[in-house]
Amino acid sequence: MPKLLFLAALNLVKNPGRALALVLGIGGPLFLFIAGAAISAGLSRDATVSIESGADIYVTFDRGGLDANIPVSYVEELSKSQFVVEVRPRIVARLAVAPETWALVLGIDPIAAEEATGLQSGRLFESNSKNEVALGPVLAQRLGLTPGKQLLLATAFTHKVVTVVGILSRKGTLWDSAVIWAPFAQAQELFGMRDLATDILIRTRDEISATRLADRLARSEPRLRIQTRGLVRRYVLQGYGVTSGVFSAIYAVTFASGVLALLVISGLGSKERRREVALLKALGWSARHILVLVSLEALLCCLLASALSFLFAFAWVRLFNAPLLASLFIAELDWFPGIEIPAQFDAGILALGLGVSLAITWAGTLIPTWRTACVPLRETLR
Amino acid sequence: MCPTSRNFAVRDPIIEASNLVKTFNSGGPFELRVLCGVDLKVFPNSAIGITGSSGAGKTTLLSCLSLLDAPTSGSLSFFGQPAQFLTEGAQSVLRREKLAFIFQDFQLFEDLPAWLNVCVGRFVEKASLRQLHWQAIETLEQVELQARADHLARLLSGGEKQRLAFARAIARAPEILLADEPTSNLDPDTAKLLTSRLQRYLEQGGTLVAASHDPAVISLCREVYELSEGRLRKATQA
Repeated sequence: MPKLLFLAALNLVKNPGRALALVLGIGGPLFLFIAGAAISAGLSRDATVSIESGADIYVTFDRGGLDANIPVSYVEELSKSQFVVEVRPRIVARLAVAPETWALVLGIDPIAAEEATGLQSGRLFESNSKNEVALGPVLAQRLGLTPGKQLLLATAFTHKVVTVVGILSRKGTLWDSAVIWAPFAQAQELFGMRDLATDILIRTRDEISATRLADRLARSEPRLRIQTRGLVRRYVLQGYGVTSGVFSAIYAVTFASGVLALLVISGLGSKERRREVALLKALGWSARHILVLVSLEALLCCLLASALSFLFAFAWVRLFNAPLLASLFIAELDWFPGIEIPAQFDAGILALGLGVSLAITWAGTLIPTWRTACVPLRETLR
Repeated sequence: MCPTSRNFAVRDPIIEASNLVKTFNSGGPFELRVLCGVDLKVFPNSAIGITGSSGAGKTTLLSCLSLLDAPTSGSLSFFGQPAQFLTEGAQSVLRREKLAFIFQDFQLFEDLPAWLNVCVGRFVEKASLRQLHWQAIETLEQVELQARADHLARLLSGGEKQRLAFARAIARAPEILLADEPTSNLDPDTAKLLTSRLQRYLEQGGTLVAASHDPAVISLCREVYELSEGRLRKATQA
């Protein structure tokens, strides 16, 4: 085996063009895969963090199995429960703020901890303020807004000029990037939701309290739609699983086509390569030995390509915020996002990338090698 | 020399070809029948010379005799075993341990150094790389090419390539050496060197089947055949 490994390495060194084509052919798509998988894992992790730091129970009205607005009067009723620590009504809605620019309006009064942190510039609005908002960093950048500037918010119910008082931190979660954070009352007015909220967030004493409260609410109030943290976590992670799966499937098909095309163009399809295989056979190598040699060559190429791809993907995401790629995963982002993209690089992603590339490369090299090895040698050597 | 098979008697033919036919483009408009019923027995320690005009089919015959090509019909056996019953693995062992072939067009690994060309066929054996390297250098010394051991094959002259191809063939001390024009395109001194090495190989008990026009090579052969119109005819007895 060491001799075959030596020969495989030498073959790559002696044929730099072929080796480079193979490394680039494998490394290019692998770079996308590693970066994409890292972003997907990072988003999933961020979502988990958000869920874990969010409310224990989300309450809405149930309309045919779908969420519907809930009267704010429920806040007082829900607060009476012995299990409850805090109850906050919230409004979440999408709003066009410029042509082809959508923002997520989050109408919720801040609590003390939120007022103290998470701002890049300016300050956070007061709960009772009428015309003040804080913006997510990407939205602020896109609209060219800084603290002190004004923004027109127009809905079917009203037109409102608000003052931007603060810009949220770039290091905040991704969901804050294109948000307009407004006081609850202001959001109610904006969307014509007098006495209504899109949902009510409940914090309980502990997980057992949350389960008990959810059960009690479900039994006593059939009109309510109760979603616990566990349920939300399951939905969200399932969603990421689907996104990640679709990306992986598209990637695998593209990668397989690319590598196979590359192998046909520059690899084993070449006359010179077929001659080498035939010559080794003429010198007494068996087809098995040749397959081992070709496998080792592919392994070395894949190892090199994986290592380079991992480094490039890491730099692409961490240093440049994954331009061109992040927007495939997060619809609201530009091609060149101005925020830190959540990503999780670990050995598992590298191993997965290496495994996929090896499987495809081996399939692409071993089959033609086997076929070449079965052709009468004189025919190939002629 | 390599040991012969266990059930194989010393005076049985190593290679036996019977009614060998080789046709190219069989059934097509340009069908070409190169070998038309060739019979040949190659005994241990014999030296067979095959002559014939260009295109007579000498290379095709040697390719069939060395398992590089399959005959269209006829029977071929090696050490008493019919070739059609030899598995791919058994054919590889035969090529590795018993047969060696000197190609007319050298067939070297152009991007590998000369020493590696000599021993690359033995990479699947158990010997270490260091052992193989030293054996390759020793073999290159026999053809006076040791000074070029580390040079890439493509940087060698035609004569040097011919000597390298020869060194690769004899490096494994094969039982049978099949040589296709081993001294063509060589200057007289180099041709003489290779002829003397062939002579030494025969003296050490080797078996030679050579297709050649070179009288010096043919003079080494105890049996000489002429291949003409696809048939082998005995030309002279050395």
